[in-house]
Amino acid sequence: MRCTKTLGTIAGALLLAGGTMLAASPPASALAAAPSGCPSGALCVYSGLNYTGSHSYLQDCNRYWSAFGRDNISASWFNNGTSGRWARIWVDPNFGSANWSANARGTGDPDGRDRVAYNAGSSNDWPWDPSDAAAC
Amino acid sequence: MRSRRSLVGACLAVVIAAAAGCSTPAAPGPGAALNGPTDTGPLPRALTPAEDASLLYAEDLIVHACMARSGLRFVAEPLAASSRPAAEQRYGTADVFAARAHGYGYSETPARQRRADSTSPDPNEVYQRTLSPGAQRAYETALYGTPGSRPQVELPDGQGLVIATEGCVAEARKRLYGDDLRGYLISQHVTANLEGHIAQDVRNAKAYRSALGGWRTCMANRGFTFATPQDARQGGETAAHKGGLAAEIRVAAADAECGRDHRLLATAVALEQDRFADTGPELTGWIKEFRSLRLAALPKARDLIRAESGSRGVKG
Repeated sequence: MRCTKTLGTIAGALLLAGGTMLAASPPASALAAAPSGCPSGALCVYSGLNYTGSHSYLQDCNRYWSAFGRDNISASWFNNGTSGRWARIWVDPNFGSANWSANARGTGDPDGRDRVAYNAGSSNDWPWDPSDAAAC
Repeated sequence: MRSRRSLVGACLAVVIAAAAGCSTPAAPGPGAALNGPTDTGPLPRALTPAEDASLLYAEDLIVHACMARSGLRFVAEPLAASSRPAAEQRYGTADVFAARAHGYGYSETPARQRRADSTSPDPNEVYQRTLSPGAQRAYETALYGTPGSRPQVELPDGQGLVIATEGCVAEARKRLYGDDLRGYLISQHVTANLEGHIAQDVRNAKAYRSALGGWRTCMANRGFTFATPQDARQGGETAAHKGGLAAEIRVAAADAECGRDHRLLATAVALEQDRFADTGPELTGWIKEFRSLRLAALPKARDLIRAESGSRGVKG
């Protein structure tokens, strides 16, 4: 069962990060800084790693990121929301797929590589819990 | 090389396959390198939505007091939430007795409690939008600390997560869940994302979709055309606003009776248990840590809420 056990571990780790693959994970850096300029209340999404490049500050729920030129441009992100809601980034427009990444308030992913939402974000919502069904 | 999405699909499929009878790995998994919790004893129970809402309200009461010390406004609002198990909200209810007596609870929720599914904007977001750019930066710093004060911690999958260790939100979390903020936030991220993906996986499972089909037909036969129990719950809220408790009960009772007859919740809970059984000890340890910390925080949260209710002259 070794093979299945290992795969099970990979799958579990994948699930927790919304699609992270273990084998390709780069070592985490303790030096990454949180984004400056990301307003409180917003999910801040950037085209570059470590909150660089072009950005979108998303205050609301958005079914179609293509409407403001953010579709599939998401290398790093930060939940600067003031409420207790999670910031959830969906891979498909209108929450159309089973794949997403979620962050609690005050947390962010400075390096989204190997997460499902990396350069694949197409919609976002603000669930009270990531287990909630999509809602906008 | 397979695409990212195909790999994701493959790994999700493995979760389902592994649930059929895999044992856990003997070698330490990636989480062990983090010195994360490794206790593989029974999982503590999950909190109910009402208990989660109490913790969030207590967090926000602490944030409110902390922000006030800096002369900043932060509104803490109690959140209306069900005291029934979270699984009912995720997959559907089967408690016919409660539905016939109370509906979903919307009509009986005190008016001062904010509805979780409300579309009204968060009052704190509305407030901070009125501030000047400089004042917004000060607000954010008070809430989460300066950008430079937020370290990156390593998740069990090797990825980094930036967390706020200073500011009012961090103060609230430390007061409720203890000084190991790093451990708490890792356990929160692991648990919430894992539970979320499992819930979605369950909702997409063939057995659940089959039960859902029966529920849908049953509801249609009673005059309700809802696609999911979540839609029915929203319909119940609308009915409560328009027609009061009796109207809400009509939707909720039909929902619960159809759910019971088609084993909607029972099917989902069995599927969910299979998937949890497959997560492995390194992830289970984090889930246990998360649930334990939050269960331990509940008395503190209730004390805070009681004190707040007392100061408002509201019986809690």
